[in-house]
Amino acid sequence: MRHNHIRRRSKVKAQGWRAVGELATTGICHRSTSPSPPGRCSTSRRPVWIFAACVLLAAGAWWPGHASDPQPPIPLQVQRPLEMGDWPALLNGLAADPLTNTILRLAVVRALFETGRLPEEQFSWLHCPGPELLSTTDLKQHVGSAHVAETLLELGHLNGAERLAFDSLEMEGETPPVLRTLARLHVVKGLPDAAGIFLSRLQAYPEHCAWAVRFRAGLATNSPAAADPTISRIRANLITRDGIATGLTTERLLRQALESNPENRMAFQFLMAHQLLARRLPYALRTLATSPQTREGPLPRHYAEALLLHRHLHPDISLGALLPRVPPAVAASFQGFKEMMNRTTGSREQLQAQAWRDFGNTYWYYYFFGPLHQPSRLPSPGNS
Amino acid sequence: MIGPKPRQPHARTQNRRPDVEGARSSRRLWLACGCLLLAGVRSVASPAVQPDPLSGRASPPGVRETAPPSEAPRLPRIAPDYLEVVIPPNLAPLNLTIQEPGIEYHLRVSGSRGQPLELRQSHPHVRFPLREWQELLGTNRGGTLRWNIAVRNPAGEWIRYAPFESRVAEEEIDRYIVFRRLRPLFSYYKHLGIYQRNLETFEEKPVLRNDTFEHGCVNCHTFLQGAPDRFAINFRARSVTPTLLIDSNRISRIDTKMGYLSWHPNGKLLAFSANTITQFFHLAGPANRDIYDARADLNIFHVDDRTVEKPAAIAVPDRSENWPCWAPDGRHLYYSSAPAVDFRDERSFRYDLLRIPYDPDRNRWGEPETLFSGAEHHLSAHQPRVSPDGRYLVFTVTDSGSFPVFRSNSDLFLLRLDTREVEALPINSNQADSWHCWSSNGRWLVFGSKRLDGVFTRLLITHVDPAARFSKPLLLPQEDPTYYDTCLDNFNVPELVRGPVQISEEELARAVNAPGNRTGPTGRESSTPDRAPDRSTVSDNPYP
Repeated sequence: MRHNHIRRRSKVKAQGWRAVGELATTGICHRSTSPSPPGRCSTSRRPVWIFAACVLLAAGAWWPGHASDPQPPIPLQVQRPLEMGDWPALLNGLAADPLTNTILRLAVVRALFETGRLPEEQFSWLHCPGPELLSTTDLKQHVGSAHVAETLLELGHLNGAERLAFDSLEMEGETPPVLRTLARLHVVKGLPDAAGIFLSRLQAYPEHCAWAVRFRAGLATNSPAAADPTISRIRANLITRDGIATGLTTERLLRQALESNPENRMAFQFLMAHQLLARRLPYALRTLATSPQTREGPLPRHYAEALLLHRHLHPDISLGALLPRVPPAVAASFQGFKEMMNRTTGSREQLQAQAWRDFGNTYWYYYFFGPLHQPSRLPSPGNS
Repeated sequence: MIGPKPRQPHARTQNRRPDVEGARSSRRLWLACGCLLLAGVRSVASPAVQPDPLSGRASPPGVRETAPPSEAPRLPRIAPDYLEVVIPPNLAPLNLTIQEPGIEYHLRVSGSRGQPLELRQSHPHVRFPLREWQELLGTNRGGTLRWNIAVRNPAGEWIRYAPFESRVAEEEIDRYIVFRRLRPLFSYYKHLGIYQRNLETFEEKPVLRNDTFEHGCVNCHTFLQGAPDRFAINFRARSVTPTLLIDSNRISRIDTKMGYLSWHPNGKLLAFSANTITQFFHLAGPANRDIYDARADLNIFHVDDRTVEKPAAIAVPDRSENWPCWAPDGRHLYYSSAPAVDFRDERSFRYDLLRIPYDPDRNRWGEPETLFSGAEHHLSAHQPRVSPDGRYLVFTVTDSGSFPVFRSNSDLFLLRLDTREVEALPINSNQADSWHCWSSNGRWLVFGSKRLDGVFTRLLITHVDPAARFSKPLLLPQEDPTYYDTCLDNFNVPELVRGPVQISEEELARAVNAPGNRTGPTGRESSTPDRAPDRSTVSDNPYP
């Protein structure tokens, strides 16, 4: 019934796609310091508001329903890869998953990062908004909080990881990931005897025994970093500035990590991923422009897509030296996207279906159609 | 020639695993054959004797000291570290692990009287038989035990380590200890409980676990001078924070929230703190979590007429009073007190240690007296506990703040009440030491410490002689000597009691769960009964 209601009111003319963009951008501009381009919002005002209402209604219909669903357990086929940190296998296991589960979304982002594919493939996987990457509020019975703890630890949030790991230990019970995280964490904290206790527990799990024995041997010879390179990464990323931990959003956690170490590659890519998912274009581009990690060379695909989209929506805002670094293929693709959006007539559903078919793995699709994306109703995108 | 020493008639081998026996026998046979061959090749003149690896004589062939002849042999590595400790004569066996590589282990514990305890086994985990251990301690009460350890290394040589001694005290420790057992908790809790442990054996039983009342929180447990049938437990259920009073094993329930508790020796008064505790977290740095508790007051619960009194002298509006402890004669109440500060100044929050005279006959309070100034010493004083003879007070000290167990710099201090001299105890570690309790005879102090690993609180026992000299603390022994290597629980709030808590867990749980069994307190004179609303998060937990 709700979907029919939306459908009746969601007729959008071809040129309305720019307005869709404006809608999204206007939403962003309310939170950002970037002013809306003067005069642009006055064109096709009526369809914009109709579409805005549709988006809000649809999002409202979809999101509360989603939020009230019990958090499904982590699918069997990815439990082991997730536990073992086998990122390629995890991506294989999740190829057909709609990724509405908080932990699975985080796991995919993590797996893409660990395999070096996040800036190129994030939107081949994530097509609709969801809970924040590092959020634990949607976790039912804390299932999966051990994985958030592990991610926080690698981002350099030692204290946050400790807190969440012990919460997981208490609420989820003892699991190999939480024991591994606690072992690493206490080595970084300079408490090897405590780490030894968690390793002793971990040794009882046959699949993790070898790792635990190796790690313990590293402890015995005072070289845990040699036994587990993750230790060095955590040490390099450690948060250095103290404060009272309140209101820790994903954005704030990742910014703190970058403040402590601007070279924290994981924090940078996660922050970009988060800001793009939150459709906070100006923030994402500011992160991109100020990071020492992407000073030269062609921009990764999704960053380039965001850049072109921002330029299209805010042509009066200078993007400095970033624009020349957009790969030609991405620029050509964006041209095609613009033409499609200008050419298409008919319902929003038709527009979305075509966009999905031709641009389903781009940031542009996520940006415009993500809030209405229904994985069960659409086949895989043709170009993904 | 190297060979196994024939088993002695008194050898204790009960903990030897039968499945190992066959393998060991054949291994011994092969080793013996190999050694015979070797001996024949190397020296036909070697005396054909089987050496006792623990004997104090010059080492025969095949027995090597742990150091060259010019140096004394080194001490063995054992865990827990029971070297040179003082042992209560009624304590359960000090089971241990010999942390030296080897294929055979030989340990002899002997005193000047009675039969020694001797174990010879293929693994390093030593479990003494209970009855023989008790006999050994009983016959050597007030004396010394000598520990000899030898280990046969994979090459077949016996390595003899330097012997060490431990003293068996004359005075017993209370038979039971009641403590809170829980994992390190941060934002949530699920499983926690109060347990009792028989110190003479390894028997541990729950007194009250929170899964008997919907996973609420079990807080304080306070006994009247070590009597197991007279105590109070505060807990937090779903919507209430009542306290159970147990008197001669009869339960009554008071629907008021009580924080830290102390019984007056006359059994008619219960001093308690009314706390508003907020737990907070740090983004970075070694201290992850802390407590803000700067608005506490002390209250008195009158048991007979079930009233709560808030005496003005110990509930000063602009100060925070906490951690009450009655003197053994009931003539003084010791407590911590600090100027109340806002949360942003929490780092400057420091308790003084005070005492206030009290006349129980007339219910009159005197003038508070500062015994230790937090501001003057730049230290915060918590958890005063007076020795049963009234001569000493042990308290916990941190650099600031209101909750010592979260601070690695938490140490135990001694105040000599006759001279007012204050000293840091030599038993402190570089991790949090706190939550102490005197035995009822005043010769033992049990306390919680994170010294083993920096994370988990374990219980340690130290002997206190009449001059207030504290012995090297010994870790509460467990039947499995490797128990603490894998234990993810904290043990805190230890309370020594003279016998077992006999009221059953079912009865306590029934009292918690039965709303009809309540006795509500009433106001009294200047009293303001504390009825702070329940907050069902761990931040309200006085013992996170």
